Amino acid sequence: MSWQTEITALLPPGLAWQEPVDTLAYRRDTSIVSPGRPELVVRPPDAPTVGRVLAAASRLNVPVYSRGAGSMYAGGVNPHAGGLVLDLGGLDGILDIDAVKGVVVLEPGVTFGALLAALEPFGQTIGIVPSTGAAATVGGAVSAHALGTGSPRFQSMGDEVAGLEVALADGSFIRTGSAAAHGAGFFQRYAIGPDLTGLFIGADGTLGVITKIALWLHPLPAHRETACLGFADYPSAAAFIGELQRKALLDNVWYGAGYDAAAVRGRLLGADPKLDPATLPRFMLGLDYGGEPDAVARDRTRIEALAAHYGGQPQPRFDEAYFHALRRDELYWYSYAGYFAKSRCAMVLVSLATETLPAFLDLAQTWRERHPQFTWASASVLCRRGLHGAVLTFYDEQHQWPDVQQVVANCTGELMATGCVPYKSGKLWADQVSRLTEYHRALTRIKLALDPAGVLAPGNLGLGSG
Amino acid sequence: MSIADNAFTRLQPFADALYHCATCNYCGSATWPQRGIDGVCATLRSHSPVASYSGKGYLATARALLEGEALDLDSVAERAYACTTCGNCEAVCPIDMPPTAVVKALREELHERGHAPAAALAVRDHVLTRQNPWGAPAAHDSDWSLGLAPHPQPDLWLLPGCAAAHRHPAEVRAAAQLLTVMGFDVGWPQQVTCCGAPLTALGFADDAATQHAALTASLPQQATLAVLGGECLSQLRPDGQPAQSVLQLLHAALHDGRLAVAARGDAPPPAVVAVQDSCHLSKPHHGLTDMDAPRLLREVLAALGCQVTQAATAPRYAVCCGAAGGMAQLHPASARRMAGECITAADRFGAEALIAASPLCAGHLAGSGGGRLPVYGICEFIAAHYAVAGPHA
Repeated sequence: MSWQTEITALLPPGLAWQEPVDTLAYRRDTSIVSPGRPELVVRPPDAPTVGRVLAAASRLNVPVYSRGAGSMYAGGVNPHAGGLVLDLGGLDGILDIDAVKGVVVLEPGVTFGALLAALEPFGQTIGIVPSTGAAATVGGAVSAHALGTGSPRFQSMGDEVAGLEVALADGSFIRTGSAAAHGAGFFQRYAIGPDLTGLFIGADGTLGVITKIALWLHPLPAHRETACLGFADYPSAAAFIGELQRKALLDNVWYGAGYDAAAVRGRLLGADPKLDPATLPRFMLGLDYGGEPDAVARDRTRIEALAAHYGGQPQPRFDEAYFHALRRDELYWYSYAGYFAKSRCAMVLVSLATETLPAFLDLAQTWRERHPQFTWASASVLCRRGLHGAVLTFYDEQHQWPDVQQVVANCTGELMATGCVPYKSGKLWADQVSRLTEYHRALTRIKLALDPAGVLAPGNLGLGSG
Repeated sequence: MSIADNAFTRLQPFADALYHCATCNYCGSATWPQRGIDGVCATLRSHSPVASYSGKGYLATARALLEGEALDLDSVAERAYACTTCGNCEAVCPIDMPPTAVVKALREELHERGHAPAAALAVRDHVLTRQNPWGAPAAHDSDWSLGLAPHPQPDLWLLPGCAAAHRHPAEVRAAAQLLTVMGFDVGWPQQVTCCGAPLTALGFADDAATQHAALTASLPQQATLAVLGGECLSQLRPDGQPAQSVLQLLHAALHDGRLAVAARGDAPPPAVVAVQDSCHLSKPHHGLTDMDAPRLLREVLAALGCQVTQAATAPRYAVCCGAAGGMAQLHPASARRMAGECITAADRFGAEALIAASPLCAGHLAGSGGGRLPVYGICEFIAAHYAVAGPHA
């Protein structure tokens, strides 16, 4: 009996596929990472089936790549070593909304859009929502450690996770945080020794498969408004952002995005071609405020006063021409808007210290000049501490795929040399992660302990071959 | 990656789009309450959850074929012919990918290569020989009009379409009566000639063109047409045929006073209703969005004093009821599940009846719902629950 037959027998009828026409759409994600070739795709209807599939895969030495919507930009769901794709879209239950404990417990295949719709009647929301959230799954975002709306207040996806249930490679399950104690449930993340929750966040499925997620709830902001600030140069903008963070002025800011000179010029001249480009700021920071009206008004006044100290001026034209519509009407369209420039986008995501922002933006400009065959953009997202940065390279996939892979590989090295840190690592950053010698050695030991057969997502994070 | 030198010529015009798809999965699972998006693909929900049955799956399949990948074409056909061609995946796509158009092109390719499923070929045969996709005897084409007489010198030709004539005759009968009350001299053809829409959806483009030409030739020169079915309208309008939907005429008459309505005491209308927006009338793919049919339908219901349960943002992204695209003929059990989902959703909203803008949807929903909720076409609904008055009342 083939391994495909043996694993298919673990699923209810109609939930396993191995014909090439069916596995085609599971070869890759949104990234430039080369596709893999899955030999079987299964869609478990529940967590126990996930456990049984993992146990069988370990016994049969079959690589397993778990997958949500497949909308990530790092290749983490691509089945680099072939084997089995575990489509977690069938685990799509919202299990408990507990406004008293302040926790929602859900299965990994729930989309952010569905979760937000379910929470709204309770006057609740969650901290981090990726801009792909209409279709992106919560499980995928936790596994890949996604970024998005909410990071000025809440920092990152991982910080908003109260606990997890994880299926391990041998088919057993663990619960992390307070839920590790029998019957206690998810209400505190740090309990009973070290933070095992964090072990699986951003692990890209290499250490286990997440089958339940507990997220912290937050009240829906009573009032929202957007505003933009323009700065004459990158160092002033970075100094201002650093001061915002040091003074803890971000309690009522739900999103903050930085736009470099090219983007500012493009957006503003696109809206009003008569503008004099010489008068435009080099850097724009868009802020999406949310909270009680009085608190928002107070913080906005303080933030704009602080900005003035660094030469920053309110930019209502940019807000009107772009940022407000983006945040209110186009939120989930945003991630794909740039695709109108070229056929696909290579996105490299990094974490960076706030003071590194000017170097990051200068580096992006260098690539724009060095590789004019691609359309380049950069983005920076404000966090409570530090920033997330993205280098976006739009390319023609039919003719430029291998070229862009090579260029991006070079970029990752230069980004690290500039002080940027791999974020949403997946396969895209695997080579660079492997070079972090001590860190990677520790990862490898943990991997060996949790997945001795090495079947979970080989290749991601430079763990295993694939 | 490059396009192989093969003969998938029908797919070639879509090459740019096939390399442009970001595989974001909006076409599979998008939920965006503020835009009224609550799920997208009826086939994924009710037929199979594997991505090869979704918009991005069809794009991936077409790209693989163009790149020369050896896929089993019978397997490809099974997937390609399970699409309802509703166009919801195109409506939600952030970058305007055309998966519905690709599915139709794929079906054309598969037919030309001899891989169209037998059930699809049977539909084609039915349309060509009996002028309807169900194989209903042509002798029953005019049963809906028993006891009604067409005007000898009509100023308006009512084109019932095969869906209304055979699947929901109460709707076309009510439409003929209402149009008369509204002051039109209404005529209709004694025999149905299919417009070709079912064949277009199934990839029989040449046969569809033949049907379309035959229908056009059968109509009086310069006739003004009143069309019930959205699928017929989308087939006829691109040729500049002076065709209006019955819904448009109804809306105008209710608002300019040519049609007065009063709730019947013996059959009072439900206060709260749900609406099934016809995909052909509401999705951009079918080319009729300028009609703004969902708004018209809601305004007609408001004029009738009914409250509509769904959000005003819902119509553009309404999930298909399973009536179109050959689904009901090729995969009847899945099509019934799709209809069941729509009826369950309407029920959940607290609706007392479900109103469909298109007879194809109304007939399919009524036949698949197991009587859980009354399903009406809009004209049938008025006839059932309102006394009407107008110039010819």
